[in-house]
Amino acid sequence: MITRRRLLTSSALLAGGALLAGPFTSRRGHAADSYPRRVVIFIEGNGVRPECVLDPLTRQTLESIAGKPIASNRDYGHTEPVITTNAPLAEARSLGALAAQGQELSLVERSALVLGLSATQVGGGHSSNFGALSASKALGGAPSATIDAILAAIPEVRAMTPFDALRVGAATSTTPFNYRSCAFAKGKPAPILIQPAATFSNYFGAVASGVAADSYLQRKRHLEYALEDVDRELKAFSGSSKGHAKLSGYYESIAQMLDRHEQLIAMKGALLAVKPTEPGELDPDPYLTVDPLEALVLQTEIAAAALLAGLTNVAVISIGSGDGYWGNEYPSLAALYPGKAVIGGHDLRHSGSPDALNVLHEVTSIGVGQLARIARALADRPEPGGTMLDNTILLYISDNGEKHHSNAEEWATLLVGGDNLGFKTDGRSVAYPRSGQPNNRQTSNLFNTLLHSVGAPTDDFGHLGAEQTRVAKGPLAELWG
Amino acid sequence: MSRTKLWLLWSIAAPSVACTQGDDSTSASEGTSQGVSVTTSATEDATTSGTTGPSTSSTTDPGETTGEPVDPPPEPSGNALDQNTLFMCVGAPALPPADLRLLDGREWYRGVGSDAKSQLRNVPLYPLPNHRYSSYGDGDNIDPSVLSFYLDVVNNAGVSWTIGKYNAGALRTVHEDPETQCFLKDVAPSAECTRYFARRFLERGAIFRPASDDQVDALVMLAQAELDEEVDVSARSATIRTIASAAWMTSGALFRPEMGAGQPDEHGRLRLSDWELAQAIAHALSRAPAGAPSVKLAGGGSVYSPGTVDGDLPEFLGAAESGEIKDPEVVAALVRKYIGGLDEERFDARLDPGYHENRGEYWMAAGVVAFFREWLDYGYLAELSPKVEVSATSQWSGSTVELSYHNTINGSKGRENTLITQLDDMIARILTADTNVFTELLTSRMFYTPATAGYQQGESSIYKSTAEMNRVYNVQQVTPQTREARWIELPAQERAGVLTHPAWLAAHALAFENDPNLVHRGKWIREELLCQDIPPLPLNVDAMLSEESQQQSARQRISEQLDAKPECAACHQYMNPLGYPFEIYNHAGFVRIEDHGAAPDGSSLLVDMPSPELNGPITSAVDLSQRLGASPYAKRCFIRQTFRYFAGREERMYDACTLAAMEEAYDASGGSFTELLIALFNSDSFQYRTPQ
Repeated sequence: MITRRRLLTSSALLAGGALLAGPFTSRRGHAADSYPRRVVIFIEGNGVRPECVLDPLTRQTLESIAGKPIASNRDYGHTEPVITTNAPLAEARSLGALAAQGQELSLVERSALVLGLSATQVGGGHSSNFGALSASKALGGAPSATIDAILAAIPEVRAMTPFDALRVGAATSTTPFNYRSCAFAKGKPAPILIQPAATFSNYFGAVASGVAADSYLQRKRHLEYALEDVDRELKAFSGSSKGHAKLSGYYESIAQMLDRHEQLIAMKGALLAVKPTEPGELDPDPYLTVDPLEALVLQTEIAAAALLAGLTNVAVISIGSGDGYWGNEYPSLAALYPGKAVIGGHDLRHSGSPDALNVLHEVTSIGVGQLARIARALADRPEPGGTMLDNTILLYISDNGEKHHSNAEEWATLLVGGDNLGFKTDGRSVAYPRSGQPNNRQTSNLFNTLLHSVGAPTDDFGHLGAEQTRVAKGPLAELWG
Repeated sequence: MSRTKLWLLWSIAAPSVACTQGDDSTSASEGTSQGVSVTTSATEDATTSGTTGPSTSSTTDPGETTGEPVDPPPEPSGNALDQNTLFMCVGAPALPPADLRLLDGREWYRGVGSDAKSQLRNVPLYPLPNHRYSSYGDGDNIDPSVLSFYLDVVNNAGVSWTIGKYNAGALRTVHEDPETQCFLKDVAPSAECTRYFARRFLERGAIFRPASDDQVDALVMLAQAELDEEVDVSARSATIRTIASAAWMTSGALFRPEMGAGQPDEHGRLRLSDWELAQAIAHALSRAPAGAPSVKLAGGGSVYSPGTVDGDLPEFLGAAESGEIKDPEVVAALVRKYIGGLDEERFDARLDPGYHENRGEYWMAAGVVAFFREWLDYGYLAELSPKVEVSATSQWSGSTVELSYHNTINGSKGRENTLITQLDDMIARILTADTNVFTELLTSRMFYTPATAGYQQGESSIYKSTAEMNRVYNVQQVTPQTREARWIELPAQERAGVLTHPAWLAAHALAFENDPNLVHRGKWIREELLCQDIPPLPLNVDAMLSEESQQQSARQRISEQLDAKPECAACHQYMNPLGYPFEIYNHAGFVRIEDHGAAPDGSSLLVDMPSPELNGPITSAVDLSQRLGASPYAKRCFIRQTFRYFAGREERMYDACTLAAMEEAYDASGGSFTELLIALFNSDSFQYRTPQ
């Protein structure tokens, strides 16, 4: 049985323990030993269309090599990676938020655009689900831990943070969870919280005011009571391995909650310093919104505060990943819809008309805007090595590749920050050759790069089984090192 | 989008359409067998070869040949098993594993003394998305995020045990039990009083079976600590809430055991204990524990939800306590009493949102309602993307039709109920008659439609959202606000059964009338009415109809862009022929009068169907429904679906004797759904477990 002591002494609170016994242990990466290491992943459901993040100079460069217009990655003519320095990234349709507005920091020179990454082995279609962040095909459930869980289990990343990771998002759903994109381990999906009020309660409930604060304190007593109960049940339990696993899982969850409770109480000052607006604090209450894009803004606010407070060093922010985009309607973008008729997310993506694509490009713009918001908040906060942004790499990536019903051949990705982690986020774009070319690279290489950067180098992330699904091993030298 | 059948939506989304680059393969994958083959292997792996064609056949599965318990992969798709073999009882024992089942949301909020109108319905105990039915328990877990939300909910749930007896929400279990009164009112309850209350709370409010001394001792200790801290008796409600929260955090309150008890039989199996069996049947039928508190309903008076001081389904408690639950006749009597029937008052509906007085007069147990909503997959219609131009290609038009239709989906205006409950009521009528149920489900023309009298212009300020609510049924007249008037026998050429009901048609369609709705409808029939899986689309298949074809009918778009291409037709041949008949309806369920300049065309040709009686030309969805309703093969799939939901798992080859007994009971009774369930509840598949 898993004892509470064992949990307390494990740095990998969830599935990471076994992973740490592998190639990650005792290896040094690029990050300076004493600097914090953070990773923030924005994952957009159902495709980041490359045309909306392609800046004019990169397009011109690629088209001159191809000798024809670039409509998709299949038009690429280059056979070696093409690096375009000083790319005017903010001129891309959906990357305008990188530009300085007034006194804001320009993020153009702190970013890198990546084109030509493929992941056909994970499938595309509507969503690659867990495959997007695990670099493995997700058939019937999570094939393995996703990159966020792997990162969160690395001691240098986790440090003393109470939460292994923050996983939040915006989606239309009948439940407060999305279980399609993140996983602790094979068959163990990790929930993405999609209701901002619930996210607030989960991360900042310890410093909530009024009745919410009393309730939070009451939780500890209930948890302790439950822990004793489950412990007693487990000692007497036999006859069902399935049942035993369920009881053990419940015991683990209670123990983690208790540990976290103590940590959060100890962090009260830090939490209060950055506490986001509480549900019910304002009139009208923004937490009551039904617009997923407004919910995204709230989730981003909480995520940024969680990072600033030191609640976690790994964050995943989903914008309709998995099935979450399916029913999403964006009333705040009504004027952009074809005929100004707001329709569901799946139908919108099926349309394929220029107006419909414009709505989707605007969704990406808003998502990138939220990434920029976090990046700037981190850049404003000094810490060893410079600012928090220097120690944080932020990604904006799709969960299925290039479009609705995708081939998973083109995963256009934006990287921001992470200087101290070794990222070459200096305003460049890097375009790898198209899928099928020997020098094509894959999202698995990007995840290898993340692992190298935080001090847990691995060269074949997510490769399961004997099937050869990798074009090349190792990190992306054009972006890191 | 929907929760219990997200995996199904996933796969339904897959074949949206056609073919040059792109892929829906991952979408089609989750929770279904992949690329199922036509093999006879004895292993689950036999279902993964990737050949095209619907699955019909691996004949055995783990555990069948050796009789030894094995630990298979989670819930392999029952559709991968050969149906004919599944109904051949050769005497092999049923060997379902012992397990604990995590309660789902409804089971929990009913157990704590609440209902679907309460915020407690948001308790985060959701079925896993890869489960075919919400009743499945394989792989249930409470991770820290779920636990965090559960704590939020549970902290406020105990209030139901503190509400004054004159107020809505009061529980009979609390106020009609004289022995609980001392704990509610005494300044310093005695030790005996506290112990009684703690046991009472556990057994009638939390675990719904006899509590162990350890469980009672722990709760008494907590209660005493809380009592010691009270300033005065006014703090008692806070004390009770704390006791309740703590009790609801225990494993016994969250997990229902199906472990078995006593001595193993010759196959190493244990029979469920009397309490386990009684609660398993109660949960399957009512989605609530036997003993769930009877609640004083809102709206004045002294009307309570069903139940006594000991809660709802009291006969189950008595049968468990006496051991009579082992008697098949006792099980049969309990099922017959609680499965549903005629009830002019519709007490059951008072616990749910909506207007019970306008519902049909036939009711179904909550578990039966849930089964049909999940099997037919119409329960989450209101959460689907809204339809655009809802009456396109029908005889109706105008903003009043549009608004009235949307009102039948969300029920926001007036006091008529939604399409979902209208289909519930239609099914309840068929089940109350309980004769040839499967055939009736697919052929009945008695539809429960919305009343529109009193909602017309000049009668109501909301007439634009109500006056034409019945147009989706193609009803011309103003329907009076009586049950008799709402029941309408629709024309024989227009409707026949649940697959022609607007709720089902809309639930299996996209936003526009010429979207590939027929693919979705055909895929559902193949997978859920013929119990065959569709292979996933391979990579490099672009599931998009061309933008240039947006002015064409769906039939033309799909026949030209899918059927004509061998690489598409390889899979779509299993869906499209079953979907074309539904082109006599549009995406919202309106009867078409034209289709892009031509007459509506529901014709199709069914070939190579899994059973010969299904082959041949089809003229429309009405014709198709009648053929399916008469098909012994489709009937068997219906029996399999019934097994899945009410047994709470996918069927396995070792369930063959149970399935055969269910079919025999159904046929011998003239098609009784009640007898079908009785046969299941009295079967080894339901009553025995294998320790592991």
